[in-house]
Amino acid sequence: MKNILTIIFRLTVACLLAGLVMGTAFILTNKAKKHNIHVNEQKVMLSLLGYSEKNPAPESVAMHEVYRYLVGEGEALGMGYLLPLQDGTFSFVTIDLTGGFVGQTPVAISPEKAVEEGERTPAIAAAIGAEKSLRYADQTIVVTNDGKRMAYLLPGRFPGFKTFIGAMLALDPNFSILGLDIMEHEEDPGLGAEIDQEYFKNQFKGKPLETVKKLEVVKTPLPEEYRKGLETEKNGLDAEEVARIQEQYKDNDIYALTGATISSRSVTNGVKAMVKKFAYRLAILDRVLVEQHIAVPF
Amino acid sequence: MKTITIKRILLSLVLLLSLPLPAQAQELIAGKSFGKAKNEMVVTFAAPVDRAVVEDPANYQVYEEQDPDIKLELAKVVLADDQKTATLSFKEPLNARLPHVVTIKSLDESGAAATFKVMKPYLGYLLSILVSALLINNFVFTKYLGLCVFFGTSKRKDTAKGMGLTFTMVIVVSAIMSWFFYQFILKPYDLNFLQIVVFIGLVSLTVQAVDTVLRKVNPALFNAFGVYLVLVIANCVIIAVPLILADNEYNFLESFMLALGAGGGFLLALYLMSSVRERMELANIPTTFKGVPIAFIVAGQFALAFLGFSGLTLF
Repeated sequence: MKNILTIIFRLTVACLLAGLVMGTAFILTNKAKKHNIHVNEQKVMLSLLGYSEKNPAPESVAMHEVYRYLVGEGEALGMGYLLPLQDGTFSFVTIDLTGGFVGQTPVAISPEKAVEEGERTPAIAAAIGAEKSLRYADQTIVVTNDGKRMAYLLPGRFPGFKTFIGAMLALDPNFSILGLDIMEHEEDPGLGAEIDQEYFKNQFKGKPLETVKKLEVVKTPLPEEYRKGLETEKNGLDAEEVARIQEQYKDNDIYALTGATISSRSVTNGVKAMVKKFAYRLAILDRVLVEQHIAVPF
Repeated sequence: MKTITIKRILLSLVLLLSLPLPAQAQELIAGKSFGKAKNEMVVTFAAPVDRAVVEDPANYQVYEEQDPDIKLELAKVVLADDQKTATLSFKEPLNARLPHVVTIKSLDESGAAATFKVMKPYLGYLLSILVSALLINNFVFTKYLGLCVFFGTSKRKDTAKGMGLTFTMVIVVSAIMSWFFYQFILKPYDLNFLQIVVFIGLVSLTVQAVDTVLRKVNPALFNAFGVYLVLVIANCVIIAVPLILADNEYNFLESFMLALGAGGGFLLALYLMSSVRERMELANIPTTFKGVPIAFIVAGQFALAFLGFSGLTLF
């Protein structure tokens, strides 16, 4: 009996000490970890917009995050957007399903905390009242240059061949695709995993909205000249040549990856749905912003 | 004797899972499901309905549950001759993985709308988790985890079977404990950084219990396992399961299915491997390849064969 007590006591002390050490390490490194993740995301976003280390983004380029929520009140559903305002505060705008303006509530939250879903959602819930249900849907990043819209960045997820594929899509103000980057996937190596290769994902570059709406996947082999134009990092063609090839093929369908038609189709359908839904929703949001004179920085 | 009890347990599990889930009582709608074609839905009515109302696409409102503001466009609705089964064809293919909400206006005389959800059955989803862990993402052959125990205990069929079952038991028990710990202690108190330590602790607890029980109940099997039973504590398959659960935010049933699939997958891998290795002892193998080298080659062949399950969808 005495032995048991001493063992329990020693174990407890050992566990507490270990927990303390790990907790301290966690608290000390947590900020840096979050910062690194954020920096990495920013890097991907900027590279999609054509900026790199050699060609850094000018100071005038700013990113504004818009978070979309599903707001439920009893039986009725609606859309809610958390928008940054020009004076640095945040506002939550609710719109009904047909696109009519419902209301606007200021949300007390700092820009640093708005990035974290765990901080953001309770703050919005507190602002709009507890009787409404909130469900986070997705986010959009509006990129401005000197206050003019330059691009939209859409992070999204869609089902692939095996599990979900996470992607980041960049659109210009007319909803033409500026670039696509695959953030996470679990497709088969050598087959579906090729979706993150330049010769596949760059095929989406430069396609206008009308083409994207009707985008299909074709099983014909990729023309050699087109491949050269797509693999920009590898071949180092000059920008004019790449632009010419992109222009020539911009209305073509997506050439499927060999042996991975399902993965190719998943990405194509995923991108198609993302662009279509975003274009539809943004038109409604923009109209509401203009009608209600809501001063957003984009 | 032992195999019979195992079969019974498995049978009762299958029976338990195949119990029909209580159907939601709806007066007008008897059944609904996604159709055979990618852009179809099939709705079955409880009583014959008015053809003019049902075949008019304007009376429908369909959206994916997560996008209520974006209505899906219907191409046409066809009512079968018995006036009970309607097939809805959409202009675009549907994403059957997502629940869809359908509203039909003025279906009966009162003019009330019927709203219902169309989704794949939850049981199918649970089974797909099981099949995925068992075959498609088999931990040994596609994720290359747990190879040490795999090569160590697959020399004999009896050992392999015993190890596979022990493994499955340990995985299920430790995964369920980990799930409770994660959901009710680690997550609410923001202790996620302790995940790995806590999970390893829970696994070693389970293994120690199995060790003690086996030593008394089946000394022969215990001796056959030798050092490998203790190695299970630090086995990556066992620790992978709780970590995946925590990552995917699975609920209790889903967690149980994943654990069962992971354990079953390991059992399957061990059984297949031991069957081949027993036969190989009689085969004429070059001296250089005898023992582990040929086992590695066989494991590679199995991994290749298991690639064939990739993309398998049953439900």
